[in-house]
Amino acid sequence: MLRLVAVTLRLGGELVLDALTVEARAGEILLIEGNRGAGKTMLLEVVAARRQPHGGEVWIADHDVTALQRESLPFVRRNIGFAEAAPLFLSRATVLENVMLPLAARGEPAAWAREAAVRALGKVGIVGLGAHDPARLSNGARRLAAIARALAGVPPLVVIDDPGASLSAADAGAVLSAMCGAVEGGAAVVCASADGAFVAAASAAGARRLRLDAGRLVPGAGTMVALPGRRGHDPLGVPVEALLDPEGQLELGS
Amino acid sequence: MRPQPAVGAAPLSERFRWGARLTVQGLRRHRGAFWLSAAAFAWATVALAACLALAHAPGAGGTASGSAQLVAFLNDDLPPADRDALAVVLRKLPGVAGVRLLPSDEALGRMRAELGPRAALLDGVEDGFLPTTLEIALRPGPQGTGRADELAWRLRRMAGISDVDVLRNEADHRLVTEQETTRHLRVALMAVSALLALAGLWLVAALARRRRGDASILEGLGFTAWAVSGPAFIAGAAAGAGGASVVLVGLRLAARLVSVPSLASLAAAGGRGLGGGLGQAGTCAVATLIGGAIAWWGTRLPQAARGGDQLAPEA
Repeated sequence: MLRLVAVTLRLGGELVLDALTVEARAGEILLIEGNRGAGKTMLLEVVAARRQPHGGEVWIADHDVTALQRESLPFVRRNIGFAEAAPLFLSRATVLENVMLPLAARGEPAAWAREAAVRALGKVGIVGLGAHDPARLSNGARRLAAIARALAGVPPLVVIDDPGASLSAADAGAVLSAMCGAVEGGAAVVCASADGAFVAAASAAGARRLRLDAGRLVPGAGTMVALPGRRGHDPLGVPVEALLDPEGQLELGS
Repeated sequence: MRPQPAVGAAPLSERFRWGARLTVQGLRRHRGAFWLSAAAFAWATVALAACLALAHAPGAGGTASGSAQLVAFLNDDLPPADRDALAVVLRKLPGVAGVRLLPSDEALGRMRAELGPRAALLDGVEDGFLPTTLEIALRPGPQGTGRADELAWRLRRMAGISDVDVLRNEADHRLVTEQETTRHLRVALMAVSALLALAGLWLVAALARRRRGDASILEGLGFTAWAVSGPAFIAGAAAGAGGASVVLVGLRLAARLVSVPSLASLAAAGGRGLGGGLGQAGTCAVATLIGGAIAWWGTRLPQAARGGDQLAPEA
């Protein structure tokens, strides 16, 4: 689904991504770990076709995005659900209308798009906020709405920057569960996090981990667990609820 | 269901449905900006109407006759042959209707005749008391006064001529001065009106730029340029058409219903001016296109600093 070959990116003359080669298959979660400034967000922007690298190739569904003309990019982007760390929403539109937008870009029928958007909101536990203005939501709720927007309609590639940020453990668990649901549907999920609790939970859920340091992959770091998409089965092997302690908090260090 | 990449364009019917839906949503979400844009368009149209009405307004009444006469005083020592030659040369100048040589004694006789009973005052005056002169009549024309001054300036520099007087019609001179003042005032008012029209369009552009944030979000989600800018174009075109139509209809009504003749004629002139060669429907169509084009431009501006399409790698 996704293949990065020797991707290099510079920002202000500084090397942010250094000849990265990464692959993410359909039906797996790829978790990029790393400290602040390691280049995780830049890598995700490249993966989500939001940023053009200075060198290398970015293959998404057998298309080299770096070789595409600008006019062709929308047709790639509409197949990528992308949740930024600081998401932007259309102002004075409801959360539901915002979550429906990627499905509108794909030209899905409106009724189906609405149904899929409501389902995505339900997966992250904010279906009750569908009629709200995103501008009036808390940071955590906005993050959840952005993740719901990225997951709506289960695009083939889902990219989420820092999925556990600004979220309670229960919400982070719901997000992880929704990511696993997308994987079960056959999507490839690429996310980045510096949050140890989320990394541990995702790792327990079978995510393949890669560690990024100063724009380079750290050899041998992280567990390399491939997570095949098994249709009809829970890809985690365990329900997400099992990861929560009796108070609903995410268990750490497992 | 395994997700399938949708690499091509969405079905046309769905694209139209979503286009209409997003247009309505955009109008609802940006209704304040829409009404403000329509008002700015109306304002710009009024200012343009005023500018055109001034441009087509008749000037200050009356036309200057442009008649003027020059009297060139010749040097006493100029030989008679040279005087005749000078008269011949002056007759050939453009704008000169005629040249008459007035000898010294004839000039003195004329003065005596003008003095009438007091002609005795000139008794004992020797011949050559008055200089020989050339009376130069200019052809009437709108620039008569200005041309006389110019010709006098040139004649003063010619050998054999000691001085030149310009005799002009006083009423002509006043009329020309009034017309000049009116023209300057009109140009100033036209410039102010044009600036006000531009200010209205600038406001429309400033409002259109506010859509850039929406555009960058939609582009990030995979909307094509047409899908992003189309609804904005329709909204901008509607604002342009609405604002211009209100003004055109208002001017027509004012021309018919307003009882103050000067205001009514100004409204009629404004309406005619706006119509111009295009007709008022054409004017409305132009406003529609301008509104749509500005709104389109607003969504195609360079990307926002963040959240936008960071497509080009930074150097």
